[in-house]
Amino acid sequence: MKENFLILMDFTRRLYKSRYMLRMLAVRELKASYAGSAFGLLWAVFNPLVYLVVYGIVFGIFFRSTPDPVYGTESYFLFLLCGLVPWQFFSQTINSSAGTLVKNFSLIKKAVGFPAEILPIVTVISNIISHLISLALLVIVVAFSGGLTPFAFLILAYLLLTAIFSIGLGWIISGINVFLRDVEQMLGLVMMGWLFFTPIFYSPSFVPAKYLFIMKLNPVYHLVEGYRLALLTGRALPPADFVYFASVSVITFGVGGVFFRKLKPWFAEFCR
Amino acid sequence: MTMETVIKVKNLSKKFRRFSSAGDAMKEFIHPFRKKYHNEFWALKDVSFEIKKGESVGIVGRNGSGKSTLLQILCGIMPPTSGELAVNGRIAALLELGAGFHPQFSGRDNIYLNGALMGFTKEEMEEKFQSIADFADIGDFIEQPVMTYSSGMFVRLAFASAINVNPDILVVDEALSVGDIGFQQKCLHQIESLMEKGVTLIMVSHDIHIIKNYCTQALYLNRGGLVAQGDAETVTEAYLKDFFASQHKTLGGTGTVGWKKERSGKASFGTGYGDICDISLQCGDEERDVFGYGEAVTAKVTARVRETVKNPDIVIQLRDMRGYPVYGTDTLAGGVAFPPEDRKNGVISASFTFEAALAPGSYSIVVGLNDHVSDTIVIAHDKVVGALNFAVMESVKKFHGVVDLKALCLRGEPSPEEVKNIESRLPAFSGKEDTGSKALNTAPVYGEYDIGEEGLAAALGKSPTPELLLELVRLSRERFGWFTRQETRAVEIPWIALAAGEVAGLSVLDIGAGVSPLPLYLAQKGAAVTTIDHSEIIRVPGKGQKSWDEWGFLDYGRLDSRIRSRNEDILAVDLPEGSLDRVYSVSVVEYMPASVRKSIWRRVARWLKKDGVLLLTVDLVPGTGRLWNYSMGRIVEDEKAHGDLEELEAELTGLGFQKEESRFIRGLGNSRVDVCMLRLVRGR
Repeated sequence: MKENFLILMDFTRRLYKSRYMLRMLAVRELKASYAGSAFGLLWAVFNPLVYLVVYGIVFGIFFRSTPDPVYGTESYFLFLLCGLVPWQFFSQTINSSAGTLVKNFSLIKKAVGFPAEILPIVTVISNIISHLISLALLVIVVAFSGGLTPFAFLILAYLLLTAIFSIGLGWIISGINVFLRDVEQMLGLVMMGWLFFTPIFYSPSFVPAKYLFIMKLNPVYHLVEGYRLALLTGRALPPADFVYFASVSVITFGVGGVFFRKLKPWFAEFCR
Repeated sequence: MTMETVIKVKNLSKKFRRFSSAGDAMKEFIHPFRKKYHNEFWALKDVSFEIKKGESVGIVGRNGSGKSTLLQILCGIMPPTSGELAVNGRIAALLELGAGFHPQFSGRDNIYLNGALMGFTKEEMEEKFQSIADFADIGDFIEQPVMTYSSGMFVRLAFASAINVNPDILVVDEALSVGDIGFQQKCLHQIESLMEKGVTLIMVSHDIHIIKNYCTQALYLNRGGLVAQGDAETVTEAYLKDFFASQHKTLGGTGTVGWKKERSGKASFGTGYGDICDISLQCGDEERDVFGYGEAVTAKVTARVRETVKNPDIVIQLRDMRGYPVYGTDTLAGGVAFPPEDRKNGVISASFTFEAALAPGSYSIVVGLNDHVSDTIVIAHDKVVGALNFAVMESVKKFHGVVDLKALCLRGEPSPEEVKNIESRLPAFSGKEDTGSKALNTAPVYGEYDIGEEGLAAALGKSPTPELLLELVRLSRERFGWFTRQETRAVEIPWIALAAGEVAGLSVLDIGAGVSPLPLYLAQKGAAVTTIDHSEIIRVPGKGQKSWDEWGFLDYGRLDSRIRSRNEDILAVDLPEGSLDRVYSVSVVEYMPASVRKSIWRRVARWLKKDGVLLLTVDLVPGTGRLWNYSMGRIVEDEKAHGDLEELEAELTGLGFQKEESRFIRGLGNSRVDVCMLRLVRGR
């Protein structure tokens, strides 16, 4: 335990030392993900809109879903958008984290002293930046529908917790992916399941009460719920839920860090 | 100064695990009881060494011997399986064709990234950026993503950013082979200056010359084990020896081929009218397949031909490792014929002896058997490619390329016209001269009276003994700062040196020595030399030597203690009877009146032992036998009184000398005189 703690300390110290590199890599990754596209960062806006239209028509019009009155809005599209934007941040982060080590094998194999741990962090940071753009869209839409309160700032806390969680998860997934390329393939399926078992298309109240506690084990549940409550009603997550969300994020970060550190020596050997 | 250890490696081993599937690898890493899912491969086994600060260490070994693995472990990119590793200092590395670059980053970004990896801040890197970009010299590409680079540009950038960030330890893995020659030179130069600054260099290269030139130490790895370590010269030689030996095995060379008809594995073809039966390589009587530089190699070929093959011709060709022909010849060219009546049951054999004046490396021999039906029609009856392989070992002799043509290298003397022409054609050198390397450019300048390189080249071309002449020229230039430009001397002086024969232990007299390399040369050969010269001009060694000419009295004793020099009139000198073995005089006696000359002969006859040798060179009026009678701007005496060659010879034979040899130098270059060289032996 103490050893793991020391690993974590050293880990954080090195992260701090690498901040300049972190920034360079993040800017680069952001540029690379939109390189060659005419609209560039605008895709951060188009993307959720397209999903919004598709899911909105299917679930809102065909299935006639309506949001729980608890959210204080009758618009399914607004309800859906408040769930889609944070989900997309999470899912895109995890999807691009998986391959980041393999993609940067030249650095891992040949750059002496390269801190591979920053690569999943870089992914998270660059995704936060595009997320902030879609978030701007979301806030504008909510503001026009008249429900915005100062409590909306709470979403930044949820965003931070999700970032911490994603980094931890990113370390684990990208690390495993070096040895087992199936991870990237499998991830598509896992993320689809995750999407449906997170209350994005539906309100948590639709879920039978006896299964709800299982649903709540999912930290993204709290991310989505937190965004909706803060933006649409100006309320915070229940304290117990918040504590759980925060604990899972920090624990995942810690476990992921130690796990990554233990795999790291073998990366150069297995990255091909 | 204490020698600080920067890298210490103790019992280092690296095991690669080979998994049958990627899943197995994952399973093993997370298995709570460390179950083994792999089979093992030891890339490094129990390697120990130390590297001190400022050392440069080359790592040699064949492919797969663990060199790159070792470097990767030293750089901390891979962990060792067991053993200790301590690295003290900042490492910059060029591993396997380039540093760790982000392919999508521009050259500029990668330079910054690399700097960040080395622990520099953005500001520090901004200062260094320009010098790195200048060194890489890839122009606008510096702003392009490195994935668009050619491999050469990639290495340029990698090298530039690795060496310009002040590493303590520079690790280079075979990276230089990619850049063009100009860039390679630039890199090697930079490496040298880093070494001067005390940077520790660790380098893997298959170019043994680079290792020898740039490394003081070397490690030789074979199959993961450290076979040898120590000074670069010894270790690389050990490696080369093993390399050639093993290459021989794989190529199938054994020294002797008593091969069967099938000749499995060797390309051959034939018509059935004749075939090559045997080939062997020998040095002396010993069969071998490894030779030293310059050794005499004899290839013996035995073939069998049918009666109808009228004019068989055995051909051999040497090919280098890449298969390029290096040299070839055949029996016909060598003037060897095999008429049918001389053949014993159709079996013929020939040997080719050649000097292994070849670069170190592996060579193969192709043997062929042709029939020269006529001048134009040649039928190939058999040809065996790769019949034998042999190796030539590294030698002290340095030359470039494959074959040593033994060029004679001389300094040239540009004519004033040439100099003028070049000055008018080319601009003056621009930029400031690097004073550090200036010393290298100052070639020795010889005195005014020196023969000059052009004259020497001409003389060497005509000389029957160019090596002896060169030795005398070298001796003279070394001791006096010049060798006489008097054209005939280049013939006379070596002739005397040669005609004097074996002089060790003999006493030799030089009459009218002047300033000449001969007394020094003979003394070096072990003679006790006395020189007599009555000149008023006194030459003091070390004083104004560059303006000397060959006249004057020089006290040779000050240059070589085995020589006695007397500044006296020879007629006033008395030496014990029969005390001399050799007497010689280079173009002296003809400048004396006949009477003086004759009294000199009488003395010489008395001083010389029986069978003692008198060597004379005498200037003659061109195209005649008349002795030259013009000296120091005046006529010595009239032609008649001065005499001719016949009279001179008669004077000597009258005293009991027998003429053994006479040679003439007539019409040499611009010489105003002809010369006769006489070798006489005192009889009676």
